[in-house]
Amino acid sequence: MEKKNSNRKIRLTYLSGFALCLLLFVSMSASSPAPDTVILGKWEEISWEYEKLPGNPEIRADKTISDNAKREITRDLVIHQAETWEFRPNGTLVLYDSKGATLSEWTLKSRGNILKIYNGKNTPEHYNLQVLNQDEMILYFNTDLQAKGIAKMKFKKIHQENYAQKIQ
Amino acid sequence: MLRKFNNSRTTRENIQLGSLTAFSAGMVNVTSVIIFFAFTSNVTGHYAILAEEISKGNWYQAAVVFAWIFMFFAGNFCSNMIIINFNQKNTYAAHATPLILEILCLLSVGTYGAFFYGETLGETEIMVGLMLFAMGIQNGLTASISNFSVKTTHLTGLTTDLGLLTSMFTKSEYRQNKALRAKANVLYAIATSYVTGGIFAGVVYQQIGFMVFYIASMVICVIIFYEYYMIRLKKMVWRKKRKNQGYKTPAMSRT
Repeated sequence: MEKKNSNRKIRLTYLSGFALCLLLFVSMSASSPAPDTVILGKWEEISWEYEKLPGNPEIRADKTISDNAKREITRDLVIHQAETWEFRPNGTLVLYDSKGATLSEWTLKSRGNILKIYNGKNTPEHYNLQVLNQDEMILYFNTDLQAKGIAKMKFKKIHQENYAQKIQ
Repeated sequence: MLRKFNNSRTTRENIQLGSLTAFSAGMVNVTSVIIFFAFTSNVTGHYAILAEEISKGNWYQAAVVFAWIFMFFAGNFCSNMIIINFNQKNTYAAHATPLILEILCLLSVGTYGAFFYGETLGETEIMVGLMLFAMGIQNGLTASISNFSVKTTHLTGLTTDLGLLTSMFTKSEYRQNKALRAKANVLYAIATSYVTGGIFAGVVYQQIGFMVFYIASMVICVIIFYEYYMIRLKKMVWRKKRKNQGYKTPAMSRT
């Protein structure tokens, strides 16, 4: 009788433990939207900076990346000269620059912290999605320029109403 | 490799089991890093990431990482549950069943990845979870049947042990200790196999993509079938011996 009670108690403890884990998972995942939905929409590029730059401290003091350097860094990249990025739900990424728009494909990897961009011609490019919320997106990527620095790209989300106001 | 339990295992058996499972774990881990950018055979990094995501308030990402850690835990749990409940009835079956489960998980990931994977975030998260479950199963099995001396999916504890043992071998009294030398051999074999498996997968993935998981499954199959073959062989030898003894008995009685 005592053994039966003990078994029941253990079973109950284990079940409660697993149920608690499930509850934790559900409540955490419901607390914020998935990155692949947050990223959808239009993003305007605000700034380019070096997050990490080895070398002379004087050079390191100013981390802003000039337009020339930016052109040099992105010369062989899909995102070359793109000013506005539009992530569509079907996995298409539209990159707008002063000349027009180009199409690529996007997908998120790992836990949603790696952005993969592929245009079918070059090898896929991977960017580290450091910050992603309803208003701001920060991407990091390694660049060979300036002895392997880490470039930081900041974006601001173009909300539909803002965009409509801008057009008007 | 699978027939014996805990202290009755020889060093050779531990090296065989450890090397083969570590080879497949290395393959799985490197492939998942290449494809999914996530480690699937160890969870130390995931614990750190979980804490980081919680501190940043990224609850969705925290939930995903929490689920991954839980899948590894669940793999270990299931594996040992099977072993402790069925070991008395049939040791080989109790030890082979977790490996069959692992093969099923790896084959599912390989097949889905090769033919259906649309590279969505949800698919990636589920497949990483499934691989962590498979690696948990494997780790649970090897640790359980080897009396916790063989852990093949991660190398943190193993590198610690190797560091300790190597420092101990600077003294002759430890160098002459057979048990310590045997343990070091097992650990070196596991570390070498893990790295070899990883390099192999990294090279082969460029050619065959998700089919790498089929090769990892085949390595696990080798363990299961080798053991099955050995059991059959031993039974055959035993029957033959019995038969021979039967013929000899009358002759012996005459003398």
